[in-house]
Amino acid sequence: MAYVVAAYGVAWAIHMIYLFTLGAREKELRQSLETLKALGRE
Amino acid sequence: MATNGQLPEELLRIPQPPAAKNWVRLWASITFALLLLGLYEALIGAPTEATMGIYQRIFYFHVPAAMIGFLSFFINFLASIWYLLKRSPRADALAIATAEVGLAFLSINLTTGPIWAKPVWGIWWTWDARLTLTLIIWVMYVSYIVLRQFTPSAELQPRLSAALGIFIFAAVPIDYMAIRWWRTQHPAPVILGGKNSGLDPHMYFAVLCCEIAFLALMATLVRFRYEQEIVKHWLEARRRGVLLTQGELGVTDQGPGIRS
Amino acid sequence: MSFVSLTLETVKRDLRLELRTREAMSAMLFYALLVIVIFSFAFEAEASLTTRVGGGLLWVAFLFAGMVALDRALGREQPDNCLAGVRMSPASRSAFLAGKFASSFLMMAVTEAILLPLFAVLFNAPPTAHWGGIVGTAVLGTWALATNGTYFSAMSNYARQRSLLLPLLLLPVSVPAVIAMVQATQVYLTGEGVAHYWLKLLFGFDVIYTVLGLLLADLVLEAE
Repeated sequence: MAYVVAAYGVAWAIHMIYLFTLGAREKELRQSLETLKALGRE
Repeated sequence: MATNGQLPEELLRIPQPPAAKNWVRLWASITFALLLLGLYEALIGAPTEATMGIYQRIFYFHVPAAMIGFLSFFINFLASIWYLLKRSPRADALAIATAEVGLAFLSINLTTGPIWAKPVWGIWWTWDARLTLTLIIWVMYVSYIVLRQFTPSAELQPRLSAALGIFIFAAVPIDYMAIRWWRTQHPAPVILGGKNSGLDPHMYFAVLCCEIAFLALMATLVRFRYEQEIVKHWLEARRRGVLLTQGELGVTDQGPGIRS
Repeated sequence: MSFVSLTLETVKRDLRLELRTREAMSAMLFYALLVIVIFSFAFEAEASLTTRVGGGLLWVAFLFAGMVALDRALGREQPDNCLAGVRMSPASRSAFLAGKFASSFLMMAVTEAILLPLFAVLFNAPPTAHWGGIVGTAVLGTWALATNGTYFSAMSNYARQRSLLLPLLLLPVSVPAVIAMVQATQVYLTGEGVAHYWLKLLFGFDVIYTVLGLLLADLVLEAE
């Protein structure tokens, strides 16, 4: 049982880690876009 | 905020990162529902296997992860060729998206594998042909990601990684042969009988559910990553434009995804 | 100028530079020697070890030595931005890469020719060893490493840490070649098993990657 739980846990964890990196990249992109917009307003 | 009249339109044309887009919610909820169904079928729905017992349930995530991972790498290969022929930034965005997502799926395959092997074979790992091949393909795509991280120039990245993508894919059949010959010299532990020998229809259904759920997950993640990369390309082109025109927007507008 | 004469010019130029500076060859030899010495401490260097894993030991030493040559192959062009000059010339990039391949191959071959007898003595190679076969495997194996290595050396040339990136790119793709060369060498060292299909695999690998490398040479050598 523990092995099954571990396997499924690992599978979900890997996807969570990947989603986390996607989120971090998203934040970065958004900041760059904000900077660009701010530059445009000046 | 805008006073010169031209600016609001300019700002509207700035691409949105994918998280703010409508399709994300729809695709993500469909994927999530499919994943929950797959999880239910794998853990509760499917009957328990006779010889391996409960551990066989790991297969419902293990096998589809490998198949979807390899599918992802195959798309990466096609995108690399596409980039080679057309030099399109879209091809490069697809290539990096599929490489990353494929790596995530193959990581799942490679970690759930030993977790299954420990209780069933009594060992974590064996250098059997299929395991070795999977590990090597995984390592090759890690080197693909590493190349992108090590290459500073945004213009060089797509070209070099397309070249590496093709080199990697050419290695796969040769790897397959080499490992097969290597392993037939040293017999590997006997694994299973025929792969699909007497698979219960409900088990088959559970595998299919997970397969479809993973396919949906791959599509969502790839599209998400792809759109991020397109925005990055746009920003890169715009950044150069801004530097050229010293902070004036809209002078060298090139639209999304087109490199100068 | 034809493809062949351009290739030969590149080779001549590389060898001349190497004869003047001797930077790659001396480093390669000393490095490989150190690897062999460290191996003899890491594993008890008895005759039985050689019969079990001799092929592996030999090729790890060759691989490390080769990496130095391959790193220098394009690294040699970095001072004074020589590569920019090469790019500006109308000469074919494939010929330039082919020349780089040939010069790295020659340097690796010379190093290996010195290392091989040393290895035989230090690790007590069995008297039954078939040296002709080992040399043949070394030629095919070095070809495999040199053709992929020059290509990846050109690729890692743009990176911040080029010397670190080269093995990270070269080793994963070369895995089938490494398996084949180690196995064939092992067969010739011990006289057990058959080697011909390993040699065929190695030859196939060489041909595929030489063609692929020359075809895609523009991708890695184009100007930034």
